[in-house]
Amino acid sequence: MKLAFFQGCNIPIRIEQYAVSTQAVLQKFGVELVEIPEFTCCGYPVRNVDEKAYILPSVRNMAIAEKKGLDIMVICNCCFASLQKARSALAKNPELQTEINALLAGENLHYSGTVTCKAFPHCPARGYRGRND
Amino acid sequence: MKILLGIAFIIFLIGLFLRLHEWFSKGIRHPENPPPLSNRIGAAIKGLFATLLSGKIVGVVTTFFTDVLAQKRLLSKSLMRWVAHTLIFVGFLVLLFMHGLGNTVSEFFFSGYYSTLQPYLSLRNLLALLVLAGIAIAVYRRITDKPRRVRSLSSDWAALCFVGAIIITGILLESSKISSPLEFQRMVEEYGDVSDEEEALALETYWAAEHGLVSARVAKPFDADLVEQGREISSNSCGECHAPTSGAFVSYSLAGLIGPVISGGSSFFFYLHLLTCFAFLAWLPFSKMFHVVSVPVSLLINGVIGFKEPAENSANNLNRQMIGLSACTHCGSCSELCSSLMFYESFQNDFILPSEKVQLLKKIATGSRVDEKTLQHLQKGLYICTSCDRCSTVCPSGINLRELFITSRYHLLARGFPETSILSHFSFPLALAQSFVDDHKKALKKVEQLFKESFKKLSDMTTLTLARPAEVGNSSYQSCYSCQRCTNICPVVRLYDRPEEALDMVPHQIIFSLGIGNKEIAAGSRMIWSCSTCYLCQEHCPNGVELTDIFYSLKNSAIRKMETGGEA
Repeated sequence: MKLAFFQGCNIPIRIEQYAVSTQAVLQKFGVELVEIPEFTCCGYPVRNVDEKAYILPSVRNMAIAEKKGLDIMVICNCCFASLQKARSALAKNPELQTEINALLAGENLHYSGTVTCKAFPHCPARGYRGRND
Repeated sequence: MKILLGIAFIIFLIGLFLRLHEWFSKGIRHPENPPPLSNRIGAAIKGLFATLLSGKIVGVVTTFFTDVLAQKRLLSKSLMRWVAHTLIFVGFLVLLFMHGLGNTVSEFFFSGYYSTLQPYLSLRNLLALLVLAGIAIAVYRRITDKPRRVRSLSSDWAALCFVGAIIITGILLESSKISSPLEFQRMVEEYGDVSDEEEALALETYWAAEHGLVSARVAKPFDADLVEQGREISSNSCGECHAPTSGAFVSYSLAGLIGPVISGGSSFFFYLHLLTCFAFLAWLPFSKMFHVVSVPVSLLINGVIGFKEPAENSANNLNRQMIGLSACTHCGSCSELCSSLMFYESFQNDFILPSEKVQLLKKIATGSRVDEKTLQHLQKGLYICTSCDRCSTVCPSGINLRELFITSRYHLLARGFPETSILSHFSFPLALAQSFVDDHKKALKKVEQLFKESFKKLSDMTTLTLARPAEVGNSSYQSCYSCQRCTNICPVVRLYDRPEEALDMVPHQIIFSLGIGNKEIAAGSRMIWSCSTCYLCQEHCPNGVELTDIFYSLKNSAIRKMETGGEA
């Protein structure tokens, strides 16, 4: 199986070990993770500022994966939430989807919602959740 | 001409001095205790010797070959850009040493050097073509394939035009020399072994027939006998110093066109070419072309210490920052890969793009005045940054953009203009603020104060009015049935003995206040900024109230109100 590897902003530069170990483990299971340089931030840093600005980058990232015909593997909890949030927001709001697609057309991208996102979370927030549940 | 060259060279030296002085005297830093010039130069020299005398010298040499000469970083970015840069870089540099400094460099290495002999004649044309091809690719890229969202500035065009002008005037000079009858006459008088008018005519016919001379005295069709006679005279008188001018294939093919236009002399293009070169020399230190000095230095520093660790000496951090700022060629590589680039689409703020931030930071670092509105935009741009370090990783000039942007954030915050982005703990990796702990705390106080002033607290209100349920883009809160499970499960609430003092309101109270139409006190409670966004409340709500999502919506409203005033 081949998946687009979504590492987010912090993992490649601060916590590379997350990416390296994920790749090593998944390789054993025959999952190939493809790095996509065009992926950008998931949008999370502006989530407090503006909802639409927050969703837009995630939609673009999924559109990139869609163009490459790959589903996404996420290893950051924040990024995973953002991608899923964008999916559900657009599923509920077709007008917003049309609006964002008009913008993405400038880069020859299109989001139709066919890409799914899988998570292989390392993020400490998950551990925190586990203890509380 | 020599005087003009002298003047240009003096301007060049003054410019060079000023730029180097900037390296060690300016910078974006704390307003307090700037290290004096002597400390900064001292730190630089100390760092330089420490590097040269240690094992790191290997790194310096390797970087010089891979990054500086071979431009490996540019190659890994884009083959097309590497080709364009290499054509201009190699072509221009060889032309400079072989032709521009021909009297000293070429004659020193090649005893038989004559600009009119082969292979120099053809080589010069070939190199000129290489440079022009490089410029053509660069112009093409600037027009059609430039990094999205990055604007080309006049300084970008000026650099390309200037280099192009030097090459083109040089070609025109050569073709006017080839075609000029005056030039021909002068040479004949000085070196020609012609005894009478007929021999002179033969020589001229031969040169017009085969060497591109455009003369009014001889015209097509050329007399074959005269041409043959001229060939013989030429081989005796001219052959020693002149290879066939057709070897200068570009200039030769232009000679027929340029000849009739220049009406005899070549002095116009002679002065034009030299003046362009002199002007370029004088302009260089004040322009983007200064990168020929600063980029190699920046790349060598980056090759040795990278960008992840700050320099041991803070004075050297500043030195590197200034070298880096002067090494930016506004190529746009950083903005192309910027992780925040989609935020640009939403906020339309140029300063979200790293390449554009740098252009303004150059001005700020050297102390130019920038108006308050632009500074506020820049501050926002500096904070809409995910600190992913892609820009520092990709920069073909090896600029430490991470250090530059972090320092600039706190430099701008010191002006006291509150920054709403830092209200949430999750905006960016706080580890990056470790050299600026006090500044960060001060800025946090400032924006918390603004937050406090922007909203009324429940305790300030004498009466509480009931209204229609508030609009937060999510109506799920209307199904709240007051079980308070959200508050009971909240790990943030659990941190405090008296949560209402630290948080103003706890989760269920926020939902209640929305229910009675009071969004203002909900958006003004510190709870929304202390929320860890763990979603426990939302997942545990038996009635499906989307609390965390509503909190985000309230945060959006709160920031809007703080920045623009008006309603939350």
